[in-house]
Amino acid sequence: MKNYTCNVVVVGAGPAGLAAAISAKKNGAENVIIIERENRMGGILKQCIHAGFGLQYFGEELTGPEYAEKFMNLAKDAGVEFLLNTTAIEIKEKSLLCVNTEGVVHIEFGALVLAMGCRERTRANLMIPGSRPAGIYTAGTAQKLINVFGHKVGDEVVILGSGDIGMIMARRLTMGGAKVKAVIEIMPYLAGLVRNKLQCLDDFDIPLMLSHTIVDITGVDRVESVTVAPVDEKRQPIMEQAQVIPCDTLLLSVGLIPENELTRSADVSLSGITKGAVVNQYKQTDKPYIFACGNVLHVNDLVDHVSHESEDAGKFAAMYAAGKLPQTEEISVEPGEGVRYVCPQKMAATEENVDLYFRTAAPGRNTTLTISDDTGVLVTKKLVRTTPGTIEKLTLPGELAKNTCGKLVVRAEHKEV
Amino acid sequence: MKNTVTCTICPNGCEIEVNYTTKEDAVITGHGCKRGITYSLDECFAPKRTFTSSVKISGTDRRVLPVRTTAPIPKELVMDAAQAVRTMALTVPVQCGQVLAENFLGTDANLVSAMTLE
Repeated sequence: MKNYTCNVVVVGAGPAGLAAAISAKKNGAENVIIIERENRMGGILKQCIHAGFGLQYFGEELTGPEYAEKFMNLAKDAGVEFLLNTTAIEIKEKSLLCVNTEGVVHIEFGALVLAMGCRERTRANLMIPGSRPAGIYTAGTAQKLINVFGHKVGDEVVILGSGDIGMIMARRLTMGGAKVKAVIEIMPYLAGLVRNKLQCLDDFDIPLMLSHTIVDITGVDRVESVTVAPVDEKRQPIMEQAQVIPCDTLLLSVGLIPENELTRSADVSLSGITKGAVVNQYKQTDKPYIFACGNVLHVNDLVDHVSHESEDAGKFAAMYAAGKLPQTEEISVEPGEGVRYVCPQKMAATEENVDLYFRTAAPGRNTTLTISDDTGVLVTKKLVRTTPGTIEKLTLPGELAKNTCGKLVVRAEHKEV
Repeated sequence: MKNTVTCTICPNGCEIEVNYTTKEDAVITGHGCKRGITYSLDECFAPKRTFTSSVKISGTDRRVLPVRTTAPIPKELVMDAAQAVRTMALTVPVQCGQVLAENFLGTDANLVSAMTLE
């Protein structure tokens, strides 16, 4: 058994973990260790070979591997230590139990940052009826098979879900010589970013079928067809209008779930909506020595956001480990009308600016976003359009934060739908 | 001619209308900022895309190396580019940013590695 002691330990060497570790180091943590179960750093970015990363953070358009490599180099330069091929098993008070090829590893820490990312929802989550042939992949698995292992996953493809990975895979498959017959979305609006619809679907004339779903999958050894039906306002399929689309492959891009098994071992409170930890503006959970950031906290649409949020988590984890993070009274931060969730869910009393990240409940135009407390509206922001696919941010200035009364509520009101 | 272009430069996603007979007399409306003018004109007269793909590589656990063009290339060349990289094969080591093909397909852009593999 091997033992380590450090100020801050970070679980996961993806974009969140790398940014958190660098920031912890910069903010005074002497020993920072990242635990990573794979043999390389970079997390999911290693397979996201498309461009579009870093426009906000670096001011240039990078691919996923390039974005990861910049952070890997920053982490090495900062003196962050890495344990690769090492899996975190359990958190027990201020000790993390891991295993690797050398056996059991114990890490005693001052603060821990959860940065494990997320997993894809699968066919089982959706309960799609039909047979169980080969040729059904989650979009991210197909992405790894193609972009890391160079396999071809299929020739005639249907994609369920208009999430970003699904649309990006539609383009990737088309460029690889496959025919993508349709992208099917149960909601009446796009799940992912508009830029991905334009550059991944429209550029290649791939049809997007909104308000449709898959009601059957046929095939014995391999997928032979899927049956697609429109849905009514209650998202129930209208079977009379169903059509059969022959295909050999079905990709599912139907959402992501934060991977919080380790978090549960520490008995940290989780949000029923984000499926991530409940945190305050320091990304601090209700176990004060545990922090969370990136997609394990809430699923993000831009890695640039993840980097910024994770830098906060790393900074405050370092401060906590040094005994410099004030423990003050917390008030609740809640989603109001038109808002699906807000992260953080709590605000510790402060005189500093507090950033609130949230998603709206439905798309709309001429949207007014507000933060209110029990006395009325504190912050207002107007946007030309908003969609649930894009995370929005409101900042509560420090001078208002210190005088808040009661709980904070974030609302979104659309003038037009 | 009238074209509607959704701008992808920033998350505002302005719907920009371009009315034109030639590029010189194009009338642009609906843009929220100057960048929208350049973007919508490019989309109407010379659309470009950053090309990314992967190339076979040996000597490591990863079977393919991510590659990209250093600048956006004309949209109509994207499928030709995809075809061209399919026949390439490399061996480690490769540095991120290493040039794999200069003036790729006659464009001003180079094809470069997007990852360091040693």
